[in-house]
Amino acid sequence: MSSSVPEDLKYTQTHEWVRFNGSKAVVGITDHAQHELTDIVFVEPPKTGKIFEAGNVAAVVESVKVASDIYAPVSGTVTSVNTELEKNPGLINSDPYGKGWIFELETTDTGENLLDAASYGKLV
Amino acid sequence: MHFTPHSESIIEEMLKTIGVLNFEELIRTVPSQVRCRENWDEPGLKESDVRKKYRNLAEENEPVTRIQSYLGGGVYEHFIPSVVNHLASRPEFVTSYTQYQPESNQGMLQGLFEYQTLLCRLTGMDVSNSSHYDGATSLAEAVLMALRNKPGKILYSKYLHPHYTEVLKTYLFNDRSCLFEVTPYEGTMTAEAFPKEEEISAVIVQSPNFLGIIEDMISLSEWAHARGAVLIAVVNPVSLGMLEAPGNLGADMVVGEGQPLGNSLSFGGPYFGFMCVKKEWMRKMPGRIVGQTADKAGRRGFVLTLQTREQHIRREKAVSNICSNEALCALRAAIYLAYLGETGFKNLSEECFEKAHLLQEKLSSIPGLVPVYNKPFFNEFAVRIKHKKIASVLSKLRRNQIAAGIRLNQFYHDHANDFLIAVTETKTAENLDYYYEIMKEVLA
Amino acid sequence: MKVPLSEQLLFEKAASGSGQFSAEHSLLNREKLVSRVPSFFLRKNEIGLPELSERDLVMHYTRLAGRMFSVDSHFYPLGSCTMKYNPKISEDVSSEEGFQYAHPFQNEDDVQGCLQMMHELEQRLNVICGMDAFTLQPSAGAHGELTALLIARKYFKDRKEERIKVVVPDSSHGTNPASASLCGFHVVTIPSLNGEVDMAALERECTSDLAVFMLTNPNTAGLFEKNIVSICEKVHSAGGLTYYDGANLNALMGIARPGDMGFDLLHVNLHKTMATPHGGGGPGSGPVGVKAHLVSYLPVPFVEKKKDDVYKWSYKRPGTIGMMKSFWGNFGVALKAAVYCDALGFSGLKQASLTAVLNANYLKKKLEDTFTVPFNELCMHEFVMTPHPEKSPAKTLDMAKRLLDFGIHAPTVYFPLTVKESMMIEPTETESKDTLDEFVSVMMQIADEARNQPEKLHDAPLTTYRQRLDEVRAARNPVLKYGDPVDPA
Repeated sequence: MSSSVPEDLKYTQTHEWVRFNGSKAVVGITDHAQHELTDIVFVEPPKTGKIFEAGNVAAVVESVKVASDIYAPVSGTVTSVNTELEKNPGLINSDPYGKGWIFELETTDTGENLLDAASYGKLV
Repeated sequence: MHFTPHSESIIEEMLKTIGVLNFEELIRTVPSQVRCRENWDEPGLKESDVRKKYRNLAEENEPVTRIQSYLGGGVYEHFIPSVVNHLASRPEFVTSYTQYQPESNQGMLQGLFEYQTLLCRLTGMDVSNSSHYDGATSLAEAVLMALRNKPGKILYSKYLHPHYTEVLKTYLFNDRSCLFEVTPYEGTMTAEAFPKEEEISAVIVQSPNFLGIIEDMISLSEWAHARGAVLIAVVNPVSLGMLEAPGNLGADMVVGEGQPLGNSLSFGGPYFGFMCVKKEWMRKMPGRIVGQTADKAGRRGFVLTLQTREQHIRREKAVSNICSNEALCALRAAIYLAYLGETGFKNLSEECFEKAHLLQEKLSSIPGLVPVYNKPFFNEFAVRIKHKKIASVLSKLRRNQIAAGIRLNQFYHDHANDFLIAVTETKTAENLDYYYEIMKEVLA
Repeated sequence: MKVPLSEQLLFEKAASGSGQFSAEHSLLNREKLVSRVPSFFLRKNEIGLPELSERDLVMHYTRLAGRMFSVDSHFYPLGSCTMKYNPKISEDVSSEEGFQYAHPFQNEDDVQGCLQMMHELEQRLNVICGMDAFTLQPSAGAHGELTALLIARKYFKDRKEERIKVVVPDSSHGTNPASASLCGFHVVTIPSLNGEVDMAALERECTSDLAVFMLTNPNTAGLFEKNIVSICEKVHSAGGLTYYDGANLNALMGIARPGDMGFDLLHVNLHKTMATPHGGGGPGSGPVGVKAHLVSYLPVPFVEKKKDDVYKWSYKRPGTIGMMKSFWGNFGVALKAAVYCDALGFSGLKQASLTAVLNANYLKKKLEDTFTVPFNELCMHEFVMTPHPEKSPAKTLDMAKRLLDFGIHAPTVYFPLTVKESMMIEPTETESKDTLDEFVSVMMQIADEARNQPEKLHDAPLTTYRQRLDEVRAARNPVLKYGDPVDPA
C-alpha cells in the first residue's frame, strides 16, 4: 500500500512531517507512520513554552500495543499543541497532515537538513 | 510421582518423527562442557509419602488457630468463610494466566474489574490497578511515581510499618537522601516536625499507623498540597468499614496490604498490594489495569488496557518492571467483600475496633501495664510492661496458649518494654477475659 | 435495557440486606463505639458494597469460572510462560492448617516447619541451578530481576567501580530492560544473529562501564546459546556480572546448570518451572540465586540451620541490599514448589525437562512444512514460527483468535520482537501426544482456512463467551470501574 506524501512538506527519517509558515513549524506524523502504528489511542503532547533541540523527544503517540516517541524535527519553542487530540486521537489516523497535527514550534531553522517529499517517498 | 504422560514406545515414536535416535541426540545443541555432571538419579516420593512429609512439617508449627493469637503488625487473622475458599480455589481461575487473549479470559477480567471497582469504593479513589505484590512494594511504587512527577523529600513517620520503610530504602538505593523520617508527637505525625525549607515530593501517612493509631490525614494532606506535594495514604482495608475513605481526606494515592480481605496468613504470603489513585495519575500508575469495552457484536466485555505503560511494550521506558502480579489474591478479596456486603463489612470493622478497645481497657486497669500512647486507634495498640521483664511476661502468656503480641524492641530502641496487640473478630469475649486474667496473674 | 442476570456485574445485583457477617452484638454498642473516636475520622457515606445471598454469589463466580481457558481445562501453549499442569497435591499441602495459619510474626519456636521448608527449598534450588545461596523473598520473576540488579549495583559500589551499563539482547523479555532502568542503570540493547547473541555486538559492549549482561538461556527463540561459556567469559573479563533470567529454566533441569555456564546471579520462576499455578496473573515467586562472592548482598532475613536441626532467622549479611518485600516471600508458592521437587526428585525433574524438549521439537517438526520456522534447528522447550506467505497466509493475531474457537489457548504472539508476526509455542512436558497431535491438526485446518476462507480468521473467535473485543475503544475511553462514563461509540 502506498501512503500519501504531500509535496509541500518536509520530512524526517523518523517519520515526522513539518509545515513551515514563516517562523512557525507545525509538526505531525506521516501517513506511513500512522498506518504502521494503527489506531492511535493516546497522544502525550509537549508543554507549551518548552524548548527543544532538533532530535529531542517532544511527544509520545500510542496505539494499543505501541508507544512511539515523536522527535522535534527542528530546534524551537513550543507555541501551541493540538488539544483536539485529547478527545479524538484518531484524527492522526484519519487526517495525518491536517487535523491530526501534533504541535507547533517557533523556530529559526528553515529545515534545510530535512528530507523533501521525493526523498521521503523513497524511504517508505 | 511424575507428570510426564508418554510411554516408552510413544517416546520412541516421537524421537523418530523428530529425526533423532535418543534424548542425548535431542539435546545435542547443549555443549558438553556445560552439561550436568551431578548425579540426578534421586527418585521422587510417592504421593502418600509427600503428604506425610509435609503433614509432619506442618505439625512442627503451632498455627494461630491452635492458640489465641493477638499478632498483627500489618497481617491479621480474620475468619475466612468457606464459600470464599471454594470460589477462589476454582481451577479455572487458579490455573489460568494473564489475560493476553481476553476473549478466553472474560471470567477473570470481569472479576478483576469488579475488584478495581470495590477497591475504589472502599478507598474513595478514581482508579485502581488489578494488584501489586504486597503493601510494602505498592508503597515503594507509589513513591517512585511521586518522585518522577516532582523530585523532593519523601516524608514518613517513624511509625510507618518498619518493613515498608525497609523496602522503601531498598527501592531507593540510588538516592536515599530524599527519605526523611519524621519524629512523631505522641505517636502521630504532625506538621510541626516537618522540614520547613525543603522541596517536598510526597507525604506518606499510614493510618492506622504501625502502632495502630489513627492519623489526622486531612491536615497532613492540606500541608502537602500547599507545597505542591502529594499525599500517599497507607491503610488497612478492614478499617475502612468504619473510618473515612482516604479519597475524602485528600489522599492522591492509596496503597496497602490486601491480606486482611479474605487471604490466609500463610506465613507472610502470598498476599496482594492494592494501589488506587486519583484520575490524573492513571497513565503513570504501574501494574495491570482492566478496562471495559465491547465485542464485535456490541456486547459488554473486558480487556487489559493502557498497556503502553508496561514493560512488555515500553521496555526500559516502562513506568515499572512489574509483570506477574497477585491477581488470584485480589479476586479472593473481591469475593470476600462481595460476600460480607455493605452491612457485614461494616459490622466486621466495628467488631474489630470494639473488641480491641475492650481489651485495651481491661489490660490498662492492671497495675504494671500501661498503654504507650493514649490516642484514637483502630484494632491494634501498643502497651508497656513496667517493673517486670517483658520477655518473661510474654513467654508466660505463651505457655498459657496466648501469643500476646509483637515485641517492638526488634524495630525501635526506645520501645524496649513495649509490645503491640492486635484484636480481630476471631476473639470472643471469653478470649479477652482469659487474656486479661492471665496477664493479671503474670504481672501480680 | 436490563442486563441479563448471567451477565450482570456484582453492582447490578439488586438484592440488599443480605450481608453475611453479623457481629457479636452483645459487644457492640454503637454510641459507645462512636464516642471513642473523633467523628471526623468516621466514614460518612455508604461504601457501596454489593449484598448478595451466598447462593447468588456462588452462581456469579461459577459463571465467571465458566468463561475461562485454564491449564486444567485447555491446552495452553503460551511461550515463555511454562503453562504446565499444576499438581493437585500442592494445593492440599498448602492448605494444611499448620501452614495456612502460621503468622509471619510468630516466634521461631512456633514456626519451625515453615523455616525448615524454606531452608530445604533453598538448598534444592542451589543444586538445580549450580548456585551457592538463594533468597525466597522476590514475589515474581521481575521482582527477582530487580533484586539481582540491586545486588549488582551494591557490589560495584562497594568495589568503587563506576559501572552503569546493563546490556540485553533485543530478544530479551521486556522485564529485563525495565528492571535495569528501575535500578538506575543505562540499558543498551544488542542485536541477535541467527537467533542467538551476536558475539561481535556483545564484544563491543564489553567496556569498563559494563555492569551486567542479562540473558535467557535457552533464549526466547527457544535456542540454547551455544557460545554461552565464552559469552560469560567475555563479560567477566570486562569486569561485568552475568545474570540468568530463569524464565526458560524448564528446558534445562538436570541437563545444564546456569551456575556451571558461568552465571553469577539468576532468578527462578517457581510458577513456571516448579509447577505452581499462575493464578490468572499471579501470585508467582521469583527466588534469586547467587554465587559465593555475592552471598553477603542477598536480602535479609534468611533462615539459618543451627545445631540440633533448629532453624533461626538471621540478619548476618553485612552487604545486604535490605528487604525486597514485607515479611519473607510468597511462602505459600514456595511451599508448592518444594512439594513438586520432592514429588519428582532430581530424576523426575530431569525427565520433565527432557520431555519438555521432546514435545517442543515434535510440534516444530510437525508444523515446519506449513509454517515458517525462522531458526530451524533442534530447539529446546519452545520454538518460534510465523505464518507462511503461501501455505498459511494470515496475520498471527487472526490465527491466535481462531485457535480459541477450537478450545486451545493461543501461543505467545508478537514476541520475541525480533521476529515479525511471531508465534512462540511452548507445549510443556505434561501434554500427551494426543494433545499435541490435535493441536497440529487444528493448526493445519487454520492454515487451510487462511488459504481458502480467510474471513473465518478475521471473524474469530465466534464460539467464546465474547467475540473479538475492541481494545482501541478500551484505550481511547478508559472505563476502569463500574460507573465510569461509557462512551456510546
